[in-house]
Amino acid sequence: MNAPLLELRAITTELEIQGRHWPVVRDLSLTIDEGEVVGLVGESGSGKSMTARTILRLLPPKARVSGHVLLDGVDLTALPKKDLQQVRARRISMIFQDPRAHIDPLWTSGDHLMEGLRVNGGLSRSDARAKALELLADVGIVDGARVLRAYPGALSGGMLQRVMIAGALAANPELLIADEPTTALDVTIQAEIIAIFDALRRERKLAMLFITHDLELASALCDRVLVMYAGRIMEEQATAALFASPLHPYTAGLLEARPVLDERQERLTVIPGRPPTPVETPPGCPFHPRCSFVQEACLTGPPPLRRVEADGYSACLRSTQIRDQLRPKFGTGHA
Amino acid sequence: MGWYVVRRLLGAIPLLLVTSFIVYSFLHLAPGSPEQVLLAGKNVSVETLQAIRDKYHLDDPFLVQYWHWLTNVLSGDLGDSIVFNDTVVSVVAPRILPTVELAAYALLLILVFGLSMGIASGIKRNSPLDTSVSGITLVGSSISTYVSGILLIAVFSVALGWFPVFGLGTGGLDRIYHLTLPAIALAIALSALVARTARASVGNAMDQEFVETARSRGFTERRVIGKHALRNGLIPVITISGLVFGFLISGAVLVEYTFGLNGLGALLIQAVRTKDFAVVQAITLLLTVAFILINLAVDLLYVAIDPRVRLQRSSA
Amino acid sequence: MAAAPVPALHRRRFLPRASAPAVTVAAGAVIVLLVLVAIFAPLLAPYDPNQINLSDTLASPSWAHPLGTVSSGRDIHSRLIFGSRTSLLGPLLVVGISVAVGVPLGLLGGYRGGLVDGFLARVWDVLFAFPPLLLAIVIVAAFGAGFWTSTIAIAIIYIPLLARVVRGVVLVERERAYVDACKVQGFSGYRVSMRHVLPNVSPTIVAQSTLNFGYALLDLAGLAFLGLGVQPPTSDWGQMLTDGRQALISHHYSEVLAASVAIAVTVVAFNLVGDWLGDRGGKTR
Repeated sequence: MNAPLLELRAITTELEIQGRHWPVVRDLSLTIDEGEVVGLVGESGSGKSMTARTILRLLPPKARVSGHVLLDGVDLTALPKKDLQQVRARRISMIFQDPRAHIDPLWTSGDHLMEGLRVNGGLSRSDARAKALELLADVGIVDGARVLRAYPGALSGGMLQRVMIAGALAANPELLIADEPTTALDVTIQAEIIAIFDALRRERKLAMLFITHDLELASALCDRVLVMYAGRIMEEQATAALFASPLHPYTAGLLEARPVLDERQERLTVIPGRPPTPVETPPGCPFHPRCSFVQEACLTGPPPLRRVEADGYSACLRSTQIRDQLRPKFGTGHA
Repeated sequence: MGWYVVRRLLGAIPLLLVTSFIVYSFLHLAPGSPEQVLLAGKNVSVETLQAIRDKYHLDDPFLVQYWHWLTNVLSGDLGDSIVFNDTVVSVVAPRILPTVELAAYALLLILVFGLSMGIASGIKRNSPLDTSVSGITLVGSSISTYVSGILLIAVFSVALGWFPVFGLGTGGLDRIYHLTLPAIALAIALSALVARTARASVGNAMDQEFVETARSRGFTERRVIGKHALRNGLIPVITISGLVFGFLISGAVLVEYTFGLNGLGALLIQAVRTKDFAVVQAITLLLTVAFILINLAVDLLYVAIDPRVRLQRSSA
Repeated sequence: MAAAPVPALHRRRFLPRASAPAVTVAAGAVIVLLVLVAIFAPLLAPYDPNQINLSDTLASPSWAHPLGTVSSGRDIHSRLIFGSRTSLLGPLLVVGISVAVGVPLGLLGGYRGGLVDGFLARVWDVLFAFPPLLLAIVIVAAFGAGFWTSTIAIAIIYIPLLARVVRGVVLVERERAYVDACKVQGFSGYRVSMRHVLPNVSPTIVAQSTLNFGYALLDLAGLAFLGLGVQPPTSDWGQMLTDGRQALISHHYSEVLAASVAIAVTVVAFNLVGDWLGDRGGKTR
């Protein structure tokens, strides 16, 4: 097996909140291979976005990171500022949740696209313009010339998100990090944006870290899904396997909480309670207060992520029991 | 955009008319008859009195008087100064340049010190620099131009003898030397206002998501701040710059009086004290028209810089 | 829904600093002290502030005259104490007039909207078209210098300022549920705005008026300094600056320094308290 494109090794990220440092990502490891699409799924505040920002070192001031972020074996956490900027400019691009807030409102979308092409790519003005039109066509914008002239305020959210994707592709990156790229958009537009990502994956063999709170969305796009809770990875499996046979009660809960159209359901099951903030994270397994499988041992320390299947990892002490108990329930369903 | 400029220019005309009307009507609002007001209580012959009544068309209805006055003003005739025994224009005109020089000098200081302090502390918030800027601006914004002016005279002119106490000097470098303390006095409070505004707005812009996007694209910090954070952060500074010019004009009046500079402001105060009403009207009108036009320019600049406002207003 | 947590964290950390109240308390104490000095001026001042003493002119500070005397031999210390009366009374009247006129007009414009609001907005536009102090100077030029003319002239500048602030807050307040609830119960617009909207916008009015007090003091002292406000021999801080400016040339600093410090400290105190009230009002609403 080849070395992964990106590897996170035992990453812990702490943010300063009211004068103290609190971990928002805890002992997290993950790998992304070339051309692979990895989903990072979790509820709001689970640390997904902070994981993404840790990779590109886009954390708020005073944040502390331990562990390693290896891109082709080069540790980004130790990289000098200039080299890091080169990585951001050429190798890893990022797309954010709210394009309206994440694109400078004072410049046209043409300025936005061409800034990247000219500054990072060294293109001339006319070359950059031609390339920008090409990129817009790639993300399904037909009247590119008009969009290039338009200010963000004059474009719809879906259109702006396409512009942001085009801007990310301008760098011709090896890895694309997409942080909830469709959450701020209408459902119909969501599907169009996902189709764009799917095309990028198939046609460009672009590796992606796709961050979402929506398991369904992750399943539509990702080869492999990591479920995150309270800053930790709870479960990691290939998408189909995860849906067929979840290994962690939290994943099972998430799967049960989604509405399924082809089944008659009395009511949606929801996981009781809410995820803890970094400040309130309980000792032991962070999920134990909401878990119906909880036992004494769950309270002693956070269970490590262990291999349960050939290609399935879970941070639950009772993974095998849960797998066996839940398989009949999920096994026939989604894949 | 072009159409919007035309519309705004036309829109300023009613405002200019109404303000000039108010300035004119003070002649009638003031206690005593208009000719007495214009004569500042001097005893003159019946012929002179009638000459004034004729010149101001005081026998005509009020609006007709105003119309005559306005057309005279527009053709460059602002009446006569009873104190100087000369036309208002030849009394006022030579005073314009020193005031403009003073204001320009102060504006330069405000931009160099106030704006840069505000930007620097907005970029590096909660740094020692930021804390000291906050302290300086709090005190600075509470000290009026005349207080700072007098204190500057006390320290740098009287106690240390570095700068002249009064007057404009002979021109050239000497003029700059003479205008330095007045310009500093005028700039202190306004620098504080500009610095506070810039600190807040640049600081706010630094927190905006698009700044994160620019960083994520691998741009240098210099570019991230210069092209994105600053441009957005300076929009509120442009919107308050109309206010800054207003205070600059009012402050210039006080500073000229404090430092005995023969500009428009000092002349205005002299005219008020000697009841030289035609001169008061002329200077008030001049400064108000300048203020209205500056505000108009600021507004157009704002629209030119911020596409969101442009979208909103061109559709309105 | 996963909102990006980064900006939220940023904002939380940049709220006003926790140490503000200590400074605010000190500023409040200064204001209380000033008011007491103004009220008990005759008891506190060692001399009659208008007592001329030609044998003891431009005296340097001494035990008899802690701040020295002016060119007419009047005691600076006593003039400073008595000066607090006019210097505080003027801004108080300005604030009073601007509240009495500006608040109802702001409420009217904000609550009624439409033509009334449009007309008022035009009036404010006209008043704002003059450079701030200039309108006051013309009014004084027409009606003659003095305490009352200058006070009313400055008040005219502050009326639109307050009316606009009130209008802005009312526009927000009008959209709130309780206003609809009142309307549904059939209360008149007058009753709703006076009994229900007004109490809710009053924190803003108080905060703005506190700030205005400081600025009005600066403006009035400025007019007095220009010889357009309070006339001699009445004690007034702005007037003391004019008087002291003459003495400055012969190296007599005390009158100018005393008046400058008095003005600056008072304005800083009102600024601090006003800012604090503004922040607090913003939070409770």
